[in-house]
Amino acid sequence: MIAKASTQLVYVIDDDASMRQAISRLLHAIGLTVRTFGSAREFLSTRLPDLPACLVLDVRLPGLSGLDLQREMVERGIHVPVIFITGHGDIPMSVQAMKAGAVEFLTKPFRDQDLLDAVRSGIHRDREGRKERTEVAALREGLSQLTQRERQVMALVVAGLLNKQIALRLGTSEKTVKIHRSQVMRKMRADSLAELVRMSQKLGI
Amino acid sequence: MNEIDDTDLQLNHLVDDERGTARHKTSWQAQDELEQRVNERTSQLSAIKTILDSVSDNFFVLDKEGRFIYFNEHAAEQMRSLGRDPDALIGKVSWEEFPDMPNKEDVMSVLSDRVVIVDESYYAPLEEWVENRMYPSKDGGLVVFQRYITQRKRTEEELRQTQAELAHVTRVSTLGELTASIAHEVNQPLGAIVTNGHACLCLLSRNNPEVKEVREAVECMIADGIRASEVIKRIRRLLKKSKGGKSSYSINNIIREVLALTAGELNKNGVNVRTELTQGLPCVIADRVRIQQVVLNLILNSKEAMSGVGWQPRELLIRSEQAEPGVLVTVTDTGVGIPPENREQVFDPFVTSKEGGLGLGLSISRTIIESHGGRLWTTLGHKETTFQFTLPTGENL
Repeated sequence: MIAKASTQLVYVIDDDASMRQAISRLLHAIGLTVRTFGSAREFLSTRLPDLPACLVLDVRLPGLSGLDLQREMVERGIHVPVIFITGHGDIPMSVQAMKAGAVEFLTKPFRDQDLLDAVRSGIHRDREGRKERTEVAALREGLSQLTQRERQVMALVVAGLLNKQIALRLGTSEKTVKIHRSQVMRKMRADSLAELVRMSQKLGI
Repeated sequence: MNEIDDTDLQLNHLVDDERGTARHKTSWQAQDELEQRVNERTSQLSAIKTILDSVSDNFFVLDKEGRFIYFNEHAAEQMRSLGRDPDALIGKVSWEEFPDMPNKEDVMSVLSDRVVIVDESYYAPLEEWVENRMYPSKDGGLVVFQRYITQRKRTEEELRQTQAELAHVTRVSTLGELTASIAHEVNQPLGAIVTNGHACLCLLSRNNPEVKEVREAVECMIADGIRASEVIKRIRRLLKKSKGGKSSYSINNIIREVLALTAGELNKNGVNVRTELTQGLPCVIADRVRIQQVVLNLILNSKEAMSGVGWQPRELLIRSEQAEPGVLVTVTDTGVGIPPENREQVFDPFVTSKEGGLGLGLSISRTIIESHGGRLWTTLGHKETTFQFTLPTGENL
């Protein structure tokens, strides 16, 4: 078999060595690259490669628990989707995990298909998320290049106002508004008004 | 006084003789005195007999050859109830007449070593437990005070059984506290087994299955299966009713087994466990289940005491070491501690600081340790609470 650079990763955190190894073995058997950790701290202190990934996380861990880690990851801006596994899942716990954005909440022992489905959907979600984040980062870059005036124009354009109305609102000429508008479209790399509206929605303006 | 009187009498005789008075009078007088003394002696003996017959114990006297020489009325009555004639037994060797005598060796020891022996034995023909207090007598024989103690034995047995039941019930309820952790501990290897099983199927469904990988997975499954069954075994051993028998055990193994059972629970509560178990300690003579119950109790109490300390460190230290005499086990925690005025009260039954607690743990623990001939006590440090107990070892029994 020719070793190829992995294009996706699964992280597994479980303090129980034999469970950790078993999950790793299963994921490995279907061709996934796995990295295992014995504790949340160990995971947090590792520099993660820039690849689509998901995290299989035991709820009950010594020290920082799985739910604590999920919270910590949000605070640190670590976006890896989480699949929880637990020996004794109670409902409040699973509700908390799902509300905080977990992909899945599996109770041990789980069916392999359930784990594999969750892992696939987790990696898919991360891939989408990364795409989205790259896009948003590009939009922010464009936005940061707009002047104060151009931002005002953009806001009014996407609000559906006509150039004439905008000119009136800003106390300037329609011609000037047109110039600002074309600058906005260029800097934001928007081909149409519809696209600019979509972009502004993404940026939360 | 009597001796002086006797001398006086003798002097009188001499004086009478010297005076040449009739010998007849002297012998008449002497006979009279003799009679008087016989009467006195008889009434003395009769008083002693009355006293001995009034004693509710059976009273036997044996000579130095082990022959019966006296029975009080109760003892005679006992002989009759055994179908024997007490008068006919006088002069007969006790162990020849009663070959099934359960304490023959003790009787012989009293005769040969001239020591006091108190023994307890069950005598089947009487269907009674008897206690014999045997004292060597000055003439080389021995006297026996024998008392029926069947009722006392029965009460003791009932008490022992009740205590055993109580200990069992509290043990079961203590284990109840651990249910969640124990379930987790069984489920963990089961989860790994199932996952490894799935992995095996995946590996086997490949075109060229990697036998080595499959073998590794199967080996892990076996190890995890054993691990799960060990947990179950530990619980069953602790749930089993103690038969009260004592054997020789390593105190460190007893401690380790309880720690294995509580590891999950301690972990869940963020308790850091440290052990300092001295190697090569002599074995303790103990009822294993009971001593495990004590250790379990102390550990869970510590855990409970530390659940109220917020973010302060939760440290549990368990130490075993040689003591004079026996072994000493120390359980120290950094919990909320015990108010000094309650230091002794914690060992009283129904005293508890736990919500929903029975308050029996420490009182039963102390009973258990004391029934092993050890001691259980508590000391308060600056920031920690310590419980310690000693147990005798095979060496100093």
